[in-house]
Amino acid sequence: MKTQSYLPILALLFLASCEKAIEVGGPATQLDAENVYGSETTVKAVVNNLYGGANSLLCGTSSSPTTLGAFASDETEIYLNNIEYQQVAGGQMVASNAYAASIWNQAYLTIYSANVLIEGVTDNPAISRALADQTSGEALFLRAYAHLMASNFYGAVPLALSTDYRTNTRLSRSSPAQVLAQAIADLETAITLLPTDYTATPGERIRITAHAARALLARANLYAGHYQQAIDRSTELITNTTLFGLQPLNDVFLKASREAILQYRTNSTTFPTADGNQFVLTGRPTLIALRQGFVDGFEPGDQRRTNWTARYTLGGESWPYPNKYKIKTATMLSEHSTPLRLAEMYLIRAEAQARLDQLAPARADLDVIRQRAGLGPLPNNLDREQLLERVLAERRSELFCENAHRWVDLKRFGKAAQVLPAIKNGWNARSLLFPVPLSENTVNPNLGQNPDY
Amino acid sequence: MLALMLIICAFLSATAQQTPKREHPLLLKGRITDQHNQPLNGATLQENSTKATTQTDNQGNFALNVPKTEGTLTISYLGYQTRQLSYQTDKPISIQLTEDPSTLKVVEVNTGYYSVKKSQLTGAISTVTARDIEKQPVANPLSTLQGRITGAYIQQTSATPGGNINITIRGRNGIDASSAPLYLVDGIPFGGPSLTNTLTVSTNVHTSGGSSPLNTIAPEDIESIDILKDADATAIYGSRGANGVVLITTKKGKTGRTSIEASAQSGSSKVATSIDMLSTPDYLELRKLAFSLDGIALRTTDYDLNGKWDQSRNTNWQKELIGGSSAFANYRTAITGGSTNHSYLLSATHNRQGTMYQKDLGYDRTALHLSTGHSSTDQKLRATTSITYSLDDTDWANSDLTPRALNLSPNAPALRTPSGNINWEGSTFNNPLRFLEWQYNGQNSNLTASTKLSYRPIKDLELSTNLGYSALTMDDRNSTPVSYYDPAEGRTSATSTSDFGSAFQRGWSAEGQASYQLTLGQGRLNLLLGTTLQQTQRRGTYLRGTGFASDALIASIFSANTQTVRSATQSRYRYGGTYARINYNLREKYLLNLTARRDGTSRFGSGRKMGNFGAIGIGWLFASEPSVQKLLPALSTGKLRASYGISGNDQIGDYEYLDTYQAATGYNLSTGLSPLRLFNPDFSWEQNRKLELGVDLGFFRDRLTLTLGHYRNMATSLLVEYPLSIVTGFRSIRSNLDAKVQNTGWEVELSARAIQGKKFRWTGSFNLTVPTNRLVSFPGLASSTYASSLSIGYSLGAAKVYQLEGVDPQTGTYRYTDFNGDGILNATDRQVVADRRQRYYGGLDNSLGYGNVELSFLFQYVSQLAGTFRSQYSQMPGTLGNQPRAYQGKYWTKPGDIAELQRPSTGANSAAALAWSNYQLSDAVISDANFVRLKNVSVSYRNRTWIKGTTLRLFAQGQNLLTFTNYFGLDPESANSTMPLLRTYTLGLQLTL
Repeated sequence: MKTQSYLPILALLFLASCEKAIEVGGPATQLDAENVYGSETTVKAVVNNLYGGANSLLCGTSSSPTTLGAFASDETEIYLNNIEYQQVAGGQMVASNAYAASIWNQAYLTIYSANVLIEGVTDNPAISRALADQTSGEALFLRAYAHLMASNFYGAVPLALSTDYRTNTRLSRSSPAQVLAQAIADLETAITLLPTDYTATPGERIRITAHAARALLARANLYAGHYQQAIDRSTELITNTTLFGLQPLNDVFLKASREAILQYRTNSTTFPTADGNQFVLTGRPTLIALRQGFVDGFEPGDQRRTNWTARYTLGGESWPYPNKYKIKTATMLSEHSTPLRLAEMYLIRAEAQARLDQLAPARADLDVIRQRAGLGPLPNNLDREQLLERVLAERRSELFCENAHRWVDLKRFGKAAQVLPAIKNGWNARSLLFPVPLSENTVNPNLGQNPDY
Repeated sequence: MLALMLIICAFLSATAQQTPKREHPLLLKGRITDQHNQPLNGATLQENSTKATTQTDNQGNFALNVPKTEGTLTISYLGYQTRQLSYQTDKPISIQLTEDPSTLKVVEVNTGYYSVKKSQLTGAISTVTARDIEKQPVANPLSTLQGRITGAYIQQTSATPGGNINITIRGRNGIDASSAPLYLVDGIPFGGPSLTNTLTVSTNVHTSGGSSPLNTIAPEDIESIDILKDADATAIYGSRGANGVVLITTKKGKTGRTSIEASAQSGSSKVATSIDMLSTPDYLELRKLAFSLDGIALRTTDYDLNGKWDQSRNTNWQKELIGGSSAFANYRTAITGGSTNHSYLLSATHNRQGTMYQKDLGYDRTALHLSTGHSSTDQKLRATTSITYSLDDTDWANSDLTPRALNLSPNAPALRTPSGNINWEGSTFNNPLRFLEWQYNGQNSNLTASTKLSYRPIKDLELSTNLGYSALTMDDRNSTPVSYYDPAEGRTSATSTSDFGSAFQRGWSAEGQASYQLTLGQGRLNLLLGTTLQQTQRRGTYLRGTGFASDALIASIFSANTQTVRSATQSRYRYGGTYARINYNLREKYLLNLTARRDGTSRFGSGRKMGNFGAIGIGWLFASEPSVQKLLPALSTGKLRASYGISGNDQIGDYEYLDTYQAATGYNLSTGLSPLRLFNPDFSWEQNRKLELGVDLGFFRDRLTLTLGHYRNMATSLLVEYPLSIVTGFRSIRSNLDAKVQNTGWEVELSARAIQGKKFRWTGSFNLTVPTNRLVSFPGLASSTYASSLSIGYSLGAAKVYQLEGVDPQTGTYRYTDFNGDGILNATDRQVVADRRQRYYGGLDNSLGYGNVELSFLFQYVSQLAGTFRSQYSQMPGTLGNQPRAYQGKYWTKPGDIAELQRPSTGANSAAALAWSNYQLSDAVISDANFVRLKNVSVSYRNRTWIKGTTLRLFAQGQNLLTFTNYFGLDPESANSTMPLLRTYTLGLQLTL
């Protein structure tokens, strides 16, 4: 080979080392934040991710509030020999428990996604007012939902209201009352921003609306002791008969049920709802099934026992399971997970009224729910305390294995320390609150820990 | 693309000239041996008038074209006296060379961009050559370094074939980033920091540390591995030299007679260690004790006691699940030869490792290696090309059964039903065999091609280019068929899933350099200027198929009912730099070596891409001073050297400085977009300042050599994923940490050619490294998220933990020191530092020869503090799961007991469960894990066969034969409960024609 032919190559190589030579351009699979918030299409995609990411918070996956709440309460029994789950189910958690971390993680990832969107669409000229309002409304709703759910499990929790990581990584915890106040404020704003109908998803109720915000606001006000507010908000929904009405027991969880205030469409291609997939038994239970004592606790004649629970029998053994969602696996989506529904509004109003000594209307609301379950009306001589007992019992039969309602109710009514030790060996009172995850405690000592962990 | 064309062009030009242009009429033949009449492979012969050269083959034979029927030859061989000799072409020559260790000084050390004579090296470099690599029956070339070199700790994390091997050169620099060095194969960057992370489907095959890209290189194709350690050697690699550099040089062809070599080796491996666990009666007694202490009744899931499982069964699960022996086989054929100015080597190797599981699984690798060399008759132009192509295929269970073998209760049911199916024992048994149904198949291919061209237009000027191309593909599949699940779950193949990962990495590099030497004053000045540009592109897709008409179709994504794209990534990395070296050698006594590099990487944000690095190295060959020679005549070599410099580290992912979104989980059939990370555009290089002082001594004509080295390195601007609370939306943010990490250490290498008799030979070498790793400063540590993990003055392996006081005689649970006296034990009471680190490590290598027989053995030793077995084995005593027999009798059983181990508990006693979980975070889980291991024994016998011109070598090798340790656990090296080291025995033969 001739010498001359090398020289240009060498010359080229010697010149190649300036900064320009190492420019690689942007990654083909990523989009700049500036571009993301420069177009409505991409903002909508970020909203999709907010919903998609909230999956476990809103549906009954194996690490969801629904499942962990059902383990922690008196509703279910554990069938998996896994010490982490057993600690949740037995009320013997330690701070390093993996499931103690899962709700925390789900909640704060959702809150972060919500804050990113709120900041991205606020005062953004590239986004129409309508989309900005709707997006902020949905984000505020989910931020409130996640904060409330976190507080249900951990008591005091940090309030993350921006995306500033320097602040967020050092936050202290706010008391449950402060969390409720923030959630109520977020929801009140959300109501003004959100659409008042379900036309965004024709034939379905799978996007957050002002009704969903109102329903959650009713719940938050009830928890906060703002009973009149709770009554007002739930009444707004109960009286909206054009959109809402109680359904026959076996139709409640169907897609676009008129009882649904908010439903969630699964991304799964093998089952319609995580709840049904998790609870319905087609074999021996491998993780969770109903506790026999829980099933026996239904009032005689309660059709929820026959319609919302079922048994799987094999050989000489049989196991009861929740059968609200009927389908374990299917590619057709006939059911949707339903985080908010009208029956809860009746129960919220009944309880708030009872607490305000409005006994007759409270009883009337409970009777509506009882009637649908095939039960007769309550006697009209119940005093306030007795009526509240009936509220708790009715919530148990109506809302079991849904979004940790039973567990939260046991704590709200001060019954947990009575009911749980009797059925759980070695139950520890500290387990009324889940521990702040050990890993979180380690990176942010300002969080502190719940008592006795 | 340009680079590829250049390579092809260079390769063609190199091969085109393989055809000799003119015929030499005269051929001189002969054979060269040592004084024991053993053939010398690779001895160089040069015809003194034409300067034509050749080398002997592995039979010691040579053939050289010569111009005249008579002339003179120069014959040289490293470690032997050079001879001059006259020849006549009609007579074959037979020559014996005499050994002379002092000539070893001229051995050239490869520093990557240049080579220097060992005597004139100012840096710290350790080398392992093919001779030692070939003694070991291993699949990963890095394993062969264990016990042989100073300053680099090599740790095998799992014995799963293809598993990762960590190499840490001169201590950990990064707090969380890997301290992985830069790997170069024939000068071409290989692999990358996050190769395994980006490229494979998430699997559990390699339980810790992922797989090693170096597995795609056959150890048999390697000529040498050089480990560059100090600033003098690494600063020329600029921003990528901070963690040291590993240079892998593949074998090259030898000119001369065509020679064929074939070898076959086969053997078997078994898990080398086990832990004696409780038998059923003792185990059940422990369980019953736990129930009585907890005061609870049997629960539905207590199968071992509640009658679901046969209480008379007693199985040694380690024997049952991982006790099998796995076959090991290695085959290689090679052909090498050439003529005066041409050489070639073509080899093929095949390696297979089976499994110890009850299933036909295994790991296969086939590699082809081609190397050609060409030089013009005037020796001005040289071209070498190396091409390596390898394919590997892993069939493995997607789970390591070792932890399961340990914690399965001894009375767990039989693995299979009488009809041979997986036994689920009425849905009570999480049968470990299910994990063998969970199939993993990975297929990788690796093509590496490089061409080096050099040209000397005038005597002292050399221009060269090194062009490289590499293409790595990884395809893997992870399938979960119905058989993975309990049939009682009622699953069908409609819910079976299969994950498919497919990735490739393509890279090129182009380098050009010019070197010039001149006489300046009384010394020689060497100048080197070079530039480099590299690119690596990666692409990966990860697909999931769900629902198959039949599990027989599970390996085909096309057969899935639904196909989803789980992720698709693309990235590009560019790196460029200019480097220079100025070396001055005054009277072969005083050495000065200056290296510098300015380079840039695409991994940092605007204005932070470029960096400057450099080093100074000095040396004084004091044994050459007449006064020293007079005073110490036995001292044949004496060199003092020192170096100081800075190198950097850019080993993070691509594009991390950007504020970007990527496709993510969506909703209602629409895709989503989510932020990839918290935005920080302001990070840049991590820097490592390295200081080295060394002395090299040789006595008795270098029959005894001693090297002492001391290093002191300081890493600053550490590139970390700074841990954050998940409340921020992410677990960490990429940034530079204003902390300083110091690595200091002493290194000793001693080697002796103790006996060099007519028949008997003995050489030995010993090495020792005493490293110290220390976090020197960290402003704001107490308020940072590292507050509970790092401590100033301790190593990066340290953690803040509780102090175990013992077992409370009344409650029977572990008691820890409540440092702040507030009556509760929480994170603020983690005040003791538990340090995991190596105190010292090294090896002792001996090679004995008698006539045709060679015996060598290598001991590796490590003194360290590592996690105890109990820190890894989280199964609480008393829960459903077995416990080591060694704990028997040490448990607290009743109030008043003074016991070493706390009360057994089923988990229902939360005080016991809490104390147990804190135990894992206490100082009790760090212990000595010292060990001495007979790493390798190799015996070989070589003789000529009855067929003329052929030799046969028979050899037997053993790996990890014996381990002496005070550590309680499976293996002190990995100190975890993954598949422990394998003990391998092999037999082999090698035939050379």
